[in-house]
Amino acid sequence: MEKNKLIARLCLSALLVVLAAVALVPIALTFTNSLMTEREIGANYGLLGEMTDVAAGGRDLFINLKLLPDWLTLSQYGQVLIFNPAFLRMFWNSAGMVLPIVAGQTAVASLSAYAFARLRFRGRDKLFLVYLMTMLMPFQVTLVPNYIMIARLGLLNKEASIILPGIFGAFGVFMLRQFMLHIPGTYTEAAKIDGAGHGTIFARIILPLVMPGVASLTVLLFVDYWNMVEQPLIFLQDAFKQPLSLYLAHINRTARGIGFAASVLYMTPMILLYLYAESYFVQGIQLSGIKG
Amino acid sequence: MDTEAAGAGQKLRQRRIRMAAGVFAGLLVALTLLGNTLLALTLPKVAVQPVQSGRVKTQYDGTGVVQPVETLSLPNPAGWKVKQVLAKEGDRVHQGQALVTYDDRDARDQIEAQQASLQKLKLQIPLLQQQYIQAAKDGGAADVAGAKSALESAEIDIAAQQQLIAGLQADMAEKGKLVAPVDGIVKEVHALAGTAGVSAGPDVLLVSSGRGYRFELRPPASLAETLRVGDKLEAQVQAQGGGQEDEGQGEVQGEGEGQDEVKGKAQGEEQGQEQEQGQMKGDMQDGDPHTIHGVVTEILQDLPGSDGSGGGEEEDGAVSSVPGYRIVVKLTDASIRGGETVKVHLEKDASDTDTMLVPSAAVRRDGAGAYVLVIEERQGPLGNAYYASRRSVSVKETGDGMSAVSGSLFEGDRMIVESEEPLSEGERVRI
Repeated sequence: MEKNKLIARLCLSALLVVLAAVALVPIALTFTNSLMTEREIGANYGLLGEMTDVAAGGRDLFINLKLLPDWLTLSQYGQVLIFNPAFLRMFWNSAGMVLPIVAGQTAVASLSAYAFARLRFRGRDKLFLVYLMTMLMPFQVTLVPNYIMIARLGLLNKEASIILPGIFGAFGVFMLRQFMLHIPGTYTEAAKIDGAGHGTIFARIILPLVMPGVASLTVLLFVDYWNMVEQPLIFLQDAFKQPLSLYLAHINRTARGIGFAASVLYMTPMILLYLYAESYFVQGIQLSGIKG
Repeated sequence: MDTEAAGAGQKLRQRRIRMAAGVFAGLLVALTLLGNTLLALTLPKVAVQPVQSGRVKTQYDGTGVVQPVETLSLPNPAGWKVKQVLAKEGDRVHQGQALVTYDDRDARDQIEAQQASLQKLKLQIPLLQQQYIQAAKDGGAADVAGAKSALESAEIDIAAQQQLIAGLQADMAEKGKLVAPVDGIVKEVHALAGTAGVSAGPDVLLVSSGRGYRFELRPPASLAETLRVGDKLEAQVQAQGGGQEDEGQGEVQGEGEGQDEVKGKAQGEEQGQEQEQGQMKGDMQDGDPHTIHGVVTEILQDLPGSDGSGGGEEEDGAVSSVPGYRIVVKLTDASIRGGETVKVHLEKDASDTDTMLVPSAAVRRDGAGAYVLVIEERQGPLGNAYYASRRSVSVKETGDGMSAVSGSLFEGDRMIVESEEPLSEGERVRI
């Protein structure tokens, strides 16, 4: 029995290692390749995007995925950060849109979730269901009504056309409501007995307890909106206002030498945020008392 | 304890992440603020100008001094003293017209002496005849033969003397005056009445008007190459003081395609579509300029390196190795007397219609030939970057600081006219 357990454990570990490798290798590759010279990248990825007609006698060549650079250089970063001022402009565009969305949606969603989870009013669950349906519909479905509404509001080609729909997203409400539902009702009842109003209960009891949820929400929202492509592509025609996420849409052969460095810089805020919020999960779990 | 230690570890970790995030954000902020400065420090700034299609106008202003094609020097035929000078400098004379008469006294004296000798010989004839008759009457055969031979000898002498006199008279008539051998204009008169040859040179210098006048131009090669022998050109000339000014028409003398009467224009033959325009315009400060016509009779090529400085201005220092041309223009205008200064204005549109006009400074040269650097806009994910891209061209015409080039250059291309530092192909630049 012990032996079987050990084997099962080893198998599981091997599977997890493989899965982890699948997830991590691209990130590692991006990071190490960002330290390569453009020439080396050209040699490795020279056939990227080229169709090789095997039937016509062409040899089908695989892209040489090279993990370690022959020569370490920061020239790609120099290219991106110094020679392409547009990169930083797009970076700040992204930051200028994503940060208000994350802050706004977290604030709005935590309050709405509190209402849906803790307040009792007629038609609450039906209303929540309707609210949820907006989340279930993909962006492409709501694109046209969204566009018309934004055009009517005169927000086309303005950052607000991205930020406002983002703030009032349904995902945060759904997620935080689920977190809040797990908080035992006795906590709030105790507070009520002590004379606390909804404001106090929300701020001093519920919010600290759903901190892991808020942290997760923050990370998820940040990643989601940092990576958004469709909304800015449609609502922001002005290239000067477009966020960094459209960078990948524009990547081409001539710029592949800086693609990796740009990707690393692009990933950095998300990774930092994740690492930072990761500790909140633990904290939140410790504080929430929802163990077991 | 474990929880506390874990909590402290978390705090430390969070602080580190915060620091990393702060450094990252600070770096990006700094680079954002300093980006333009850094860019300015690293990329060469260039000045660009759009390429336009067009033709370069080659202009040439030159002057030439009209010189006769042929000058006859007429010397004193016999070295006699000048009796009378009939021609003045600048006179228009006709063929056979006497220019100078000479004192033929010596010749006359000689003729008279010879005539006296003739008379003497003639006087002997009756005497010899008498002798012959006498001999025939009473003399022997020998006497008759002697008398006859003496008579015949005398007659031969007379005939010879007469011939001599006739010769002397003809000589006197011929050498007694200097006549113009052709129609022309008296250029110089050295003869002085009463003297015999003041100078070693001829008595009269006559310009043959039948052969016309000419002047030389040294237009830039690009212009000269479009001219053909026989091309008719229009010019304005200022006659030298006091000379009458007539409008005149030159004759087409050259062979070939220039025979047609095209005023101020020369129809070239290259591909039948090339149209060049050569126009000469006078630009005189004083006096009435008047238009005359000339014909290109000769196109001479100067070897490279020889002094090719003509009357015209050289537009492009880079083409100094191009051979220069000397254009000989012939004038057969009645008003021309020689020595006039002709001011010539030649201008010409470039030959090809599909040329692009670029500043000559933008045309660079290297071992592979002439080229122009244009801005190549490469669309990057981060906006467009500009690179200097080489486009080979061939320079068709140069003039006024502009060059007409053909090659892989298109209208709207932005060419690099100037740059902060020497540029090489493919270099990224800042506009």
